Amino acid sequence: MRRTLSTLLAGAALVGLAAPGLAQPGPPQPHSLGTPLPQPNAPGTPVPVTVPTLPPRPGATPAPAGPPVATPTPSGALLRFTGQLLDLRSGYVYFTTGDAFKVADALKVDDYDHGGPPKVVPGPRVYARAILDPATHAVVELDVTRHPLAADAQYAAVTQRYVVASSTAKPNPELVPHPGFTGREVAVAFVVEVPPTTPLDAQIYVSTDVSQWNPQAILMSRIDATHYRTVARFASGTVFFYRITRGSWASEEIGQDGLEDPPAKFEVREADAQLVRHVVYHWRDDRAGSVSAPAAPGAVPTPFNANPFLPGTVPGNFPRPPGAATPGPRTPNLPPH
Amino acid sequence: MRRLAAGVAAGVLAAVPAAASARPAASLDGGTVVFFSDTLLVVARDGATLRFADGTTGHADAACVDLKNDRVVLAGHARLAHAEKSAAADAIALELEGPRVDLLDASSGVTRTTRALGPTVPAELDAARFAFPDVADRNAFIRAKHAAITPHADVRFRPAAFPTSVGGLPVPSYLYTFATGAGFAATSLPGSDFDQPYGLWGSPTSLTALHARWEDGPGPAIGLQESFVSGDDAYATAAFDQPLRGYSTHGFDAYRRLGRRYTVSADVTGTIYGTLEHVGTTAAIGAFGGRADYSRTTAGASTFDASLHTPDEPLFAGATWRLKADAGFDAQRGGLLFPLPDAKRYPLVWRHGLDLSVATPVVRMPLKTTLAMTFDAARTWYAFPHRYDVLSASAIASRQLTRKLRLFGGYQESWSAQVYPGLQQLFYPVPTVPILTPDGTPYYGYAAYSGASVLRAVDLDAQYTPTSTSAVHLTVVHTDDFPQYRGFGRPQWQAGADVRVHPFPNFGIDVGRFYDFAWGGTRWVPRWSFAITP
Repeated sequence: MRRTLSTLLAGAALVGLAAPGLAQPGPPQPHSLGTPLPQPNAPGTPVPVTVPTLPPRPGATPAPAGPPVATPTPSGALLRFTGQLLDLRSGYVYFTTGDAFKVADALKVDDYDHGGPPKVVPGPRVYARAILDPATHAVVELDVTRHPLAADAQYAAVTQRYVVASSTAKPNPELVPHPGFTGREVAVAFVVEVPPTTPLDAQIYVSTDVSQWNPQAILMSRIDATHYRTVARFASGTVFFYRITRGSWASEEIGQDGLEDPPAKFEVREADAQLVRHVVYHWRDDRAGSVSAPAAPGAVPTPFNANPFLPGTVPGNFPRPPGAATPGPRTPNLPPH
Repeated sequence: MRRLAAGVAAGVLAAVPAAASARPAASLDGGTVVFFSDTLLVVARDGATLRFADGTTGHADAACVDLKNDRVVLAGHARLAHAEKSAAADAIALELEGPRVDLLDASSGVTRTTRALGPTVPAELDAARFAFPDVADRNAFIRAKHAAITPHADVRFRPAAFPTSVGGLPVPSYLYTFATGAGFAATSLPGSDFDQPYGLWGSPTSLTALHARWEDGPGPAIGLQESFVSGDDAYATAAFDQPLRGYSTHGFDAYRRLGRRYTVSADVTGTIYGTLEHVGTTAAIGAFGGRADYSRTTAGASTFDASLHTPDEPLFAGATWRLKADAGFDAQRGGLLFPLPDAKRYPLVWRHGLDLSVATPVVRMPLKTTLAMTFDAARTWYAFPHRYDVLSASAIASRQLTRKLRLFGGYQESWSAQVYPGLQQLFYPVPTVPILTPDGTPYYGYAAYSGASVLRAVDLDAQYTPTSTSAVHLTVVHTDDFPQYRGFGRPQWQAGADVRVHPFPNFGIDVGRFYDFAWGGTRWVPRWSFAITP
């Protein structure tokens, strides 16, 4: 359903884009399976049209002998066009190539593989061979099938001489979320150079605005002492901002001059893969005077209450015999006054 | 009393954004509403209904809202109604905030009107306005029935489910913030092993969020945070954190960028032990970086530090050096040098210092290995006869065995000394009471500590990355410090494994298990780490 809507929209958009004045006014006409299809300006019984010089379809019943109804081409060459259908409506047949052809008042729709009444409705995801009448420049027969068809002959001749609305430089909107982008998945490799002061056991992350600035959004793998790498997949056309962190915003990257730089902007191009190189000059908790420890005993260690043990490596609550002490800043052994 | 005050503060914080939160500009309903966090697309299928705050309503077979570009497409039997007027087309393109409406009819082309549905005029087709991306629902981040959209700020889904290959994880409501201001990243909450925010209210410049947390030590905790953000230039956050076991903390952070070269910041952290307050400023002076910080605690301690550092300058063969100079003071109410009999004479002591760092580049070595080293030497002089010296060095080697397997080895050593000329015995006396370790063993070695300490660590890592989204880390760490003894100091042996997988298209899982061996009277102490990654 979604694809149908999308392709309908795309086809309609292309028609309106290329030649809105050529489109037939009025609501789309319902059409039924079988041959021929009634057209709004041709009431009455349609006249079946055959093209006698068509190559035989695989498995098709040979056409009955008799004089051809269609006007032969001046050169004797057949005018055919194969492709995937977008739609058949309002007197036109639309292909995914962006080309649209006017259909004859009495269009014959056949099954491509077996001849006779078609088993599928001309529409999205259906492949078809259109046979054009050189005299009227209209499609007189449409052979439909579910399987892809090889490109038929005389594409240029058909599209240049008989097409009603030819493709323009503008891309198919159904395929492009933004001009120039299809939205396909692109592997984006981030390679980050970290400062040599980065701790031995550091975990490095890419945080983006599309991950709600989660500081641990994309974990990177270490390459060597100062390089980390990861690959993330984004839809092409995605624009996002990112920052490099060590897992928390207290340890995010800062600029070479010590100031917080604005987040880096990145746009995912229409490519198979992309590489982002980024340099981290400093970490926020590297710089002098930064205060990140919570207020607790020893939270602001100074040389005057120096504790030889690193924070968190002195157990707090464990049973001690009376008189036993915990190592830490020492009380001087002053003689009693 | 403190808990009451903290609770009141949290209540006020929660109430403020309710007034500040922006009213949703539009809502989108459908048989299925899916959200893609990478492209910020909301797609409704199986009958979509769009309602704007001004009363305009739209119906279509499907609808797509591009949150990044404020663009809406109603596709398939699209109808738009405003007051008594209505319009129908094969597709309708409109804006979340602007009045422009484009009607696309397959047979008659494009006409343009306004949200009020006045007269239509023929128009050129703008293909980008009608773009309806072909997205796969299996990659959706959230699946819902209803979405309330506030442009440039957030979108709330009800009822929301996070689809996985084994079913959806449902929540009654979920607020997703897509405001791009980096200040939304700032937090006043303490560090944690796991933190999952849950948005309550939001606007383009504010966010109130509950945080489900797991903190190292206390365990599970709940946090509440309020953020006010002005682009990338300023933010203010306030938070309250309450572990189920343990004491609560509260915090406040503010940051403002003043032009291209200056920033100012202030933060406050409070616990049952007291409050730490800090203000600081950063300045870019040419290529140099300057910084000044002042912090104080309610226990009467305060410090001031002003520093200036050079950029990384080339030395030779790719090596670089950096020099940092700093000056400041330490102060303590009642006297800073408490071992002194006349400690009250020294409530404040000035100091100055120099710190030189040298780093080598990553050098290729035999056997396809690489090596990088750093060296650092720092000395601080005090106004009282005292100096503090630190020498440290580190080396990290790596070797790539296969495309997916890498080995790392690191060594780090740091030597430090507190030197009080002529007064060393006064500041580091031999303990008169026995020091016992957690397992009851007497710790005689502590008596040997007289101001000089050494920290050494050897780290061996194996990193296996079978795919771009999965990895396995194995780590063994051995430390050999002085002082260090059976529970005091760093564990001598640690080992751990960390596994990162991406089993679902929309999020991944990072699980770690770490052990401290034979330390503090226990055979081993296990620890878990767990994270959900986008």
